[in-house]
Amino acid sequence: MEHAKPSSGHDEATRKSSVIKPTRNTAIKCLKCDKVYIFPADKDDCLAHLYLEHRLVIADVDEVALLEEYLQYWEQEFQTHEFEQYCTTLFLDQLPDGTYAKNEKYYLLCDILPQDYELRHRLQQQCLSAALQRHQFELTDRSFSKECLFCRTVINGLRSEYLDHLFEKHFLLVGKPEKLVYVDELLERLETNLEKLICLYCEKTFKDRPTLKEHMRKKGHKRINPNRREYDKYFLINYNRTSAPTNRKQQPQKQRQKRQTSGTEQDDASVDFDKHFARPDSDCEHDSDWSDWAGDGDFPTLKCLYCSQDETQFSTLKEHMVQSHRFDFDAATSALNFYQRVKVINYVRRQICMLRCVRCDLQFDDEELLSEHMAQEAHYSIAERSSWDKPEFFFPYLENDGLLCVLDDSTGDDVSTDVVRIISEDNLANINKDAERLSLENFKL
Amino acid sequence: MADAAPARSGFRGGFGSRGGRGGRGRGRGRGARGRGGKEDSKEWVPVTKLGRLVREGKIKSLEEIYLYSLPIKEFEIIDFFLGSSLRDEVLKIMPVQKQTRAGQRTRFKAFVAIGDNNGHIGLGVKCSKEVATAIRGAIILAKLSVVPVRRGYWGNKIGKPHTVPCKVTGKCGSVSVRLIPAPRGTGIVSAPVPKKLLMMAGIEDCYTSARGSTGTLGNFAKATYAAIAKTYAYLTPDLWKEMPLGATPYQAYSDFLSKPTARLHADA
Repeated sequence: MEHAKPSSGHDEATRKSSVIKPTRNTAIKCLKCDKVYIFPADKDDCLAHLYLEHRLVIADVDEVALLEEYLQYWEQEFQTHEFEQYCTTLFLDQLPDGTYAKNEKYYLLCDILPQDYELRHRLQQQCLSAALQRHQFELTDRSFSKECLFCRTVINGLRSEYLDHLFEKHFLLVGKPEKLVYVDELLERLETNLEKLICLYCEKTFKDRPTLKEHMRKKGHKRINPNRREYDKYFLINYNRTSAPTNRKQQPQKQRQKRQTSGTEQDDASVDFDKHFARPDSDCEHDSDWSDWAGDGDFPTLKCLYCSQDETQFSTLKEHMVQSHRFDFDAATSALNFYQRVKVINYVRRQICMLRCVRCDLQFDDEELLSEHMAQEAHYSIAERSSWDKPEFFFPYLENDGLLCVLDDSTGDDVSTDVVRIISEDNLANINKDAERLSLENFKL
Repeated sequence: MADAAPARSGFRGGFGSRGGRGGRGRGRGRGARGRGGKEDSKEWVPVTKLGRLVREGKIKSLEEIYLYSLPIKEFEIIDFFLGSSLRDEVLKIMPVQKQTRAGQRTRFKAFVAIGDNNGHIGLGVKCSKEVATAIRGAIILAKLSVVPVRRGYWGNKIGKPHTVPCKVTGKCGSVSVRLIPAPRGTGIVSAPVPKKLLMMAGIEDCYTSARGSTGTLGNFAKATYAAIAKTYAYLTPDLWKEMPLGATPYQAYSDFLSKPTARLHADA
């Protein structure tokens, strides 16, 4: 029934790890009056108060992903609107405390209302994406280090190695690493349980550690109880549960229909819908579609050659250079091939970094003097070929220099005389003389 | 949550002589629940002709399969040749949604790249209801898509090949990626996503040039993979020499293949 969150001691450790999940205490005001409750401790008090005082019940309150945000949203709404506008009204024959009465009004806030449905869905997605981010991090992070719960060895590296050690050496199956999330919190929880001499499965307390170990071994309690809902948040599958919009009246009818068409009866109505109504062909084409992965939106920025301006697109950067520095990149590098452009860029970057003018090589003390000089003398340009055409400028001067990754070749690249001979791996094969005679180069048209 | 119930058979009953450990050494629970599952590789029963040839050791290396462009339909073949040196990396796991009458159904899509840092690279994507299943499926698809990578020298032929042999370009969607040979010591000059792929392919130095909406990282990765695969598709002059036609493994070992496998009878 309860989504019991760990004690505040664990909050410190998990605060930096959880992105959106509010594990620290938040103050939530009651939806109608001014009573304040501190979540998560007062959650039950708050819900009881809503029921007793305001006759408001929230449907499926345990399914709501982030209850604090949910309540805050509705508190905003109910400041200006009445319950009736959003909630369904029920008439029951009793007062909140159980005494018999006639036709008492109660309000039910559930997801028949599209707004509420959207809100719940949005919160669930937030939770899911936060969990996935954390999961991705935990899969690849190699800086994890923890002492084993049973033996005294310290495991370094991936969390999956720790879980594998627990399984292989001590036969404690926590779960597969790919299915778990917030693993650190889970392990701390197990650790506290073991230190308090509480069995992991049945939660009975024991006298001392050997007795506890013996009990867990004999009874097969070396695992997590699937029925305990506190552990739900550590398994990724639970973030995926979406409940169908409640059409409570229609559900029995649909179930009856299903029983007629197929012989199978299942508890979870949404699973049945997937099988019967989802079109299988649309799944396959989405399965192997790579264009879904759209990236985070943080594009590698291109830094201007002469100032510290950043742009995301090459075309806008070129425009900036034309406007601010009166330097046309395309015109200046039109005759150069790819390798020469790379060298030019690395050379200019080095000069600017060392605060020397690009053209006349004068040294300056700071950036402003340098840019003033270059603006006055119109020295925003590429230097003479002799200065940049050196092999040292093949190597990128700046790390992650986005500008080097968007250079095009000039059209006259193929006949450039500056091309270095590229040798493929297998040099032992002799060129066939006949084939060479027939090759296009020797044809005179 | 279903993972929380391992095989019970090991716990009950007095296997107490192990001193606090259950008697799970029977190997029954292990293969199903353990993460390694390395025992399964010994139990591979091939279903394709190529699989049978590989299993019996008639084919000495993966390159023989690539030489005849034989399609690889079993991932265990790749495992057989490259198993220990292959490293997989999960590039991204994202939830995808589908509107059904019962609301929205979320599945997880996993993008995985696999490579041995020495001349082989593969990419796979799989969608599934659970993250672990998606990752596993994507790894299998990545193994099936492994291609060889040709490397060459820039300038002097000293040491091992370190860069792409020529300028190659690959395209996927609107993204086109161009790989350009670079001198030794340059490193990989590119955005993070292709950099990972190029490192896993074993290319040490390379310039890249990307066009199109490189924000769609999926297409960006696929375009890089296409470019890397093209290194062996490009006919350079040193490959002009005519080689004698060899017999495909199917022909060379046709007598072996015509024998019915003893294993099938044993299972029946």
